[in-house]
Amino acid sequence: MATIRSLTAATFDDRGAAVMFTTPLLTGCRVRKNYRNAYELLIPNLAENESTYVIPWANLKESVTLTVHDRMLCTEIGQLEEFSPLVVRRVERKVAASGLAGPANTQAAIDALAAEEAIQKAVSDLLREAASAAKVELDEEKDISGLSIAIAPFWHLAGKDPPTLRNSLEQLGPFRDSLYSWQEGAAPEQAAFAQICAEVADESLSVGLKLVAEFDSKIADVKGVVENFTDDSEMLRRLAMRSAWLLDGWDFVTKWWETAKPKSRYEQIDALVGIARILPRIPTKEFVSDRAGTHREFGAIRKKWVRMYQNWRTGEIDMELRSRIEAIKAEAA
Amino acid sequence: MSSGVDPIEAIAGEILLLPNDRFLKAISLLERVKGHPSTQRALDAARSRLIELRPPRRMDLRRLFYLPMEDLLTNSAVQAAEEGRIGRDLMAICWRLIQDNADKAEFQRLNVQASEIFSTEWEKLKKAGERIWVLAATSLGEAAARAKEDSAYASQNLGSPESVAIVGDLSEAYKIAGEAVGLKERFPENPVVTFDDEDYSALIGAMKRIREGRTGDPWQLVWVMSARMANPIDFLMQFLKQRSFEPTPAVGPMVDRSVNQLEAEVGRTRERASTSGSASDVASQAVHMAATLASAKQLAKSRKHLAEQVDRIAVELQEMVREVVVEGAMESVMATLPGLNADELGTQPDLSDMAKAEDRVLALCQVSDVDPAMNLGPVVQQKLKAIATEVEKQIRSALDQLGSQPATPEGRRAAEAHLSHSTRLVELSEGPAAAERVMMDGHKRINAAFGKK
Repeated sequence: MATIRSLTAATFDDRGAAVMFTTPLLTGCRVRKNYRNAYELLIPNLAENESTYVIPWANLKESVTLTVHDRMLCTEIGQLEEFSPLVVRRVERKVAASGLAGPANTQAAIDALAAEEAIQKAVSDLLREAASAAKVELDEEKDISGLSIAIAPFWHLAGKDPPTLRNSLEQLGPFRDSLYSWQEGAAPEQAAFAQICAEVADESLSVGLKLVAEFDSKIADVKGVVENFTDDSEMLRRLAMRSAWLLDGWDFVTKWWETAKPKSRYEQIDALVGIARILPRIPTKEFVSDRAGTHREFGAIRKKWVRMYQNWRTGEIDMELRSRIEAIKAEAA
Repeated sequence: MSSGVDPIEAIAGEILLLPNDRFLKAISLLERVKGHPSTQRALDAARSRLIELRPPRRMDLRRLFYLPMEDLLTNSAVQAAEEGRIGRDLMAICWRLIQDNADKAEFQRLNVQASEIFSTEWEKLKKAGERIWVLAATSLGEAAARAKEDSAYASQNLGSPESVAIVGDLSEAYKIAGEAVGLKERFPENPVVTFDDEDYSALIGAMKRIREGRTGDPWQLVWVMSARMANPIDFLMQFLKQRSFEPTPAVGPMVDRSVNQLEAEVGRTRERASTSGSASDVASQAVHMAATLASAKQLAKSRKHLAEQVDRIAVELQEMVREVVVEGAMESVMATLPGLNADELGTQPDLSDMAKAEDRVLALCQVSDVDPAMNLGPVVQQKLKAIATEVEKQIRSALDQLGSQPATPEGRRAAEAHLSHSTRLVELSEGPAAAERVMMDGHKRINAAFGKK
């Protein structure tokens, strides 16, 4: 097992894609490809310090006692050829739809897959129509289907429900505001924690909104996109992919906070500790931030809190904790 | 704005659209003109957002009067007498009594003073409350003393003869109200789950101040604060162990009432559990009550007269867990599995039935390690093991029937869904290793019937 010093990764590739496991120990884990193109798992804060543990994907089943759902998810992800947060998300939904993450997740995943398919179809139809109106020849498989799969999660079609990534982005503002109001009247360390979580959310939100603005202004002219297909489609794909990486992991975080909000202050603090542990901070080299101080400060404050851990030494899964994680997963599906 | 339209009514909708800080400012202005029906409507509309923002509330004299005792309030008169609580009806009577006895001009002045303060300004609250709490202690003390002598006065002014003792206790509690409010600032949560050494020292410090000032009985503070604790008996015991404060006559009844409280809580939970609620909710309440019961057992070692009652509570709690969590769990779980006729296996299982079955197993998991003295551990473990075995047996036999049906994709999907459900049940009751065995074996059977995917 290797460790890396800081939780703030240098690039999105370094940070990896969030995986919603149901084994409590693996909450907030990420998967990434290493330099040999093999998958590896990143477990944040395993030893209650600042380190992130990196385990080769192939060893995961032997290293940790996994729930059956997670074993299946582990197998499915290990076989992926294409890799991105969106692909991981799709696999997660397929595994959850099998029923292994409990009844609530089954339904949520089935609904989410159906919604995803419907939006993709609508996007394909739009592109096809635009191509025929502009009398541009596009390849059905490579161009139309390929682009719609890439941009459907980010394109908010008029009159339709917002797609996955827009939903994630919309959660950030309320999450930030709720934490700002929560911190008023909280003890100083707790307030500092909430403040940092809120600031990280705010930073992702402002970057996300810029991506949205750029994407929307380009896609507003579908005909133009189809006419200048090679360049424009590449740009749209890039914007959608960038926002997928940016927003990856936020769904679980915002829903975790939502489920903690009506509970007691203790449970809220507990949730906040967990959230801070897996906060999807923007990798240092991905965006130039005027708030680089946030990241430095984070480590200093985080050390003041010790979090009670589940029964990871015995390898037994805390079933109650696991069912709570499943409830959040269903919300975030 | 046209005449005839209520100005508050006109802006009520717009207030909701304001950003947090300006919204709170608007609400605090509205609260100043409370009492006007349209103001109340505007405040009602803003309530859900207020609950989330939890802004400091503007006080008034009545709220200030209630503040130190709010943890002791209850809606039930029976609970009030047995558990040392104060019924809300009686509290309202006490408030009227104090109002009637007070000097009107002074009352008005105090009210104006209180309305300048917000619920989070603790220092100001303590200062502003001093006078009304002294008035409360005196008026209620006098009323209780008079009511003791004069039963006609008691029933006329305090509602019922049972209230006399409660009002007497309340007057004692008001003597330490200032310190109680000071401690509330330290424990903003209700119930308080963690009470550490520093908290303990803070309370002892407050008790010492009461003793030095000769303002009241320091133990009253322990009682008032215990109402805020998640495990009040454990809390009381910490103070019974110390030697700086000799127990006063108030201590004995205090301890008895705390045990009464636990008994009543167990009874109420059992009653509620028999009519509604999920098994896992009952289980988590039972786990919490078992922790308090463990403290009560310790307490009964030095207070023998409580032993019988504590045993009774243990039996009651054990029976409740047995009735709600253990009994019928197997039947509920098995009812959600496909029977041996192939039709059932060909239909998708119902998600809400599946959730109920999982809830039953989860409840068993929760109570599996409650206080060993309750003797439930082995029974529950056995039950979990039996459920895992039966589920495995049942799904295996059901899947064996697959061959007799035409192999359709829907049939396969339904069989897989049933298998996933069984896998989950085995996983919850016995663990992932056993569950994986069930799943692999099931998939083999499904593949044998439908061909490999």
